Amino acid sequence: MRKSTIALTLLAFLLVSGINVGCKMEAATNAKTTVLSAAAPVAAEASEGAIRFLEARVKNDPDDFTAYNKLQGYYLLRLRETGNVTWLDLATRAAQASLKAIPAEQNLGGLAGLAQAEFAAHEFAAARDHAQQLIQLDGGKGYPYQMLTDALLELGDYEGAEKAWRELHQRDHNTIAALTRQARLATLRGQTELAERHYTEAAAGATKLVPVSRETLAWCRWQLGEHAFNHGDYATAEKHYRDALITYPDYYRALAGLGKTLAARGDLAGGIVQYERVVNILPEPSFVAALGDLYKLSGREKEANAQYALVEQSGKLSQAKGNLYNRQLALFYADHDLKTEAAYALAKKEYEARRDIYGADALAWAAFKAGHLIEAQTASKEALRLGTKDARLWYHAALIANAAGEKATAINQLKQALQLNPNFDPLQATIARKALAE
Amino acid sequence: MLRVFALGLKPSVWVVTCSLVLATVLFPLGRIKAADHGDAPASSNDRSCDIADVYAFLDPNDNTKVILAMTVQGFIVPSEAVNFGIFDPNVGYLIDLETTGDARTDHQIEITFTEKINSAATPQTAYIGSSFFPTFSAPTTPATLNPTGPDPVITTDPNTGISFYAGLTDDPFFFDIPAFSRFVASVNAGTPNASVFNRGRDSFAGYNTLAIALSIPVSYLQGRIPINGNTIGVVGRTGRRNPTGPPFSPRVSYTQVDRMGNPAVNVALIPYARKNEYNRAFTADDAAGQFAGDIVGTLRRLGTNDTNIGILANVAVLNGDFLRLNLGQPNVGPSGGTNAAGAYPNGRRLGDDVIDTILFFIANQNKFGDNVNSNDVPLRNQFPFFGAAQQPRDNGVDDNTRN
Repeated sequence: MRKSTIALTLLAFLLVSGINVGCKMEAATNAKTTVLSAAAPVAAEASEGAIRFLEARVKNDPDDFTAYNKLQGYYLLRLRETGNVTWLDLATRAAQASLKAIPAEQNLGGLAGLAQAEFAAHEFAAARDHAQQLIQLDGGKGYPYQMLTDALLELGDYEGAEKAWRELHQRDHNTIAALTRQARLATLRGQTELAERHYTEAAAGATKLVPVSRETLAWCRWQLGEHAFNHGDYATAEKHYRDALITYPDYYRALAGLGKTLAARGDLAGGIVQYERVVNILPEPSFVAALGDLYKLSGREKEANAQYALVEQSGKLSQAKGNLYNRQLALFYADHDLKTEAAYALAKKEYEARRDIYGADALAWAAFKAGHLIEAQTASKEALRLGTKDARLWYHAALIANAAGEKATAINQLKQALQLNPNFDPLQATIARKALAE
Repeated sequence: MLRVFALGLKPSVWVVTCSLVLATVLFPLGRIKAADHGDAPASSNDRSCDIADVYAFLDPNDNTKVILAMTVQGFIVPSEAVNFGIFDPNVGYLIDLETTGDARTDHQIEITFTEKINSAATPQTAYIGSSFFPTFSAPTTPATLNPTGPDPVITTDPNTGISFYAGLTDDPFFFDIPAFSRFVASVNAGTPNASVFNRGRDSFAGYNTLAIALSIPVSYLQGRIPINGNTIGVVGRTGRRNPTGPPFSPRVSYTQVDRMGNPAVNVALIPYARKNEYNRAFTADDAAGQFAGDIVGTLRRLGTNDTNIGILANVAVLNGDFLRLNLGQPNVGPSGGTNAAGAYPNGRRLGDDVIDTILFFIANQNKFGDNVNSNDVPLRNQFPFFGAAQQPRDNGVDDNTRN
């Protein structure tokens, strides 16, 4: 029993599964990017080698929960890196096997791993409950509060999330974990300058991690790209996404970000190239739908329809896997005026369990498209309740207000949306402009 | 509560007094659990600060030299050797020495590292400074993914005769964690079950750790520092460099993250709720009784009687949690020494079965152990004594977890 026995399990998985981290300021970005790029293949091999080593270990000794916990961390890392839910299944099974060998009371790493896997599987209530159990067992540390903050944010309990974040901040202030959650809260509240500052600070921290985590750094750069894109600064967004791709080649989040940015800058062909790459790596419904939209705008109707069909297919597959993509599917239907009642049902069902502002927005939009105007108005108010500066939220609210006869509100919201992020969506931004012109 | 220590050349700054509130509530028996610190992206980047073990013993080949060593960041999988085999340039690694017989550090050795740059084969540079010898520098031993681990690069400072090693090595610790966890669970359930230790599997087999080791001529030490009773107390500490101030400045300050003297104290005897506090406290806090209630409470739950509680408290509480080494007690044998008289708790050698020693006292000096009795790979017979780093294995090659 030395010091590191404790370090075991959690550490193992925390180390790798690392939740959101920050990125770095531009000046320093370039130098670091070069180093990380050169190191890239080594890291990938190392990760695969570690997984082989640990899989062999737990096969030989199914009671070795510390190895299970490390393994689980690597699986979650691969999930973060690739978005491939096969890794999520493996992570969940590893966490369960770990806890079967040694129950949570003596195995906090196993419990933390389970909570992380639940979060990734969109089982946010379970993730919240397990985070609270971790707080009971190990509340002196920051990590249980980090997990609680994440779960509560997704569940739409923003006051609870803020409270949990304060506990995290108190224990791990100025860490990448605390800064990125602080940035997320600021974004949701419309405090965009604050959000950018905290993401930038987190990014600076990410370049100093020893050992370096390429995914963490790429995640930060992607997040800064999202921030710039959401504010209509497409040149800066493109730079951040490209930096992320140097740090982590083929990083699916950054590829999608680059695709939408190129499209927003009028380079449809370039956008298509990026989305074709990302869909090839990860056919997630929102990416497939976006590619379909770009094909459509380019006059490639047949290819667009093929993508749209694929969205439905993968959405259905996801329902068998715990409804990971229900929200994406509902928004896709609503955006394209397809199966509006089905979209409404999906959004409504999800909002019953998860009352975050983006769930409210999906419900508002789907309800509006399905003709349930009163419900759309109510949900839209919920979606705007934090003052989030997001063109899509305002666009949805505007069309709903317009249908309800609130012309002045609608015009105001459309102006806000288009001023903030003129090309927030290749199809919807055009509709927004048309609506404003009318 | 965070406290700050300074790496620098002023002893008065190093020893920071404590002011934590004394709490004597009895907590349930500690559980083996997860990350002490560390991890992650997730919570913090203090994995680099996680001390695994601290060692102090006389060189068995030449008892005129004393070996001081600490390991940090355990559980490094061999294929991660290059990625993880890096000392954090934002961390200060300290070895405290107590030489007057009380609970306060009298001298320090501080080790910091430059940033890892360029290729994997390029070493980092370590700066080794102290209150009793002039600073010198030495390269680390870069980790590799080759079939055979690198030979240790040892630097001997011509001014002092002190030798230094830092690099990725096999983790010499051995212990069955699942068995221990089950044992603790059985104690908590009121039905202590020692048969869980029949597994005899070494949870640390096959993994690497980062090691820092010094070999110091005893005569040099004695010439520079008055040593009461020829016994030194040793504590390893780590701290994260505070954001302000340039690196390697004498005035740079560090926030203490971890400390370790005796094995097992924090993990097994301090309740979860106070582990962080313990890590960030100082040896004087121990002697002031800050954690005495916790430690005694845990031992009582384990069924340890007052005599043996007294013995264990004497080691880890009354004069602070220092590893104490009698410089006059001979140490002989291969692999860093094997004679019984030279074993822990007289300092600690890499091969000492410290778990069995502690369990022996916990079980009121009845034979009791975890049935994992030695390291999975041979230790070296000369400085730095750590075994060669575990290198990536082909599929199907035994990972040696069963001794």
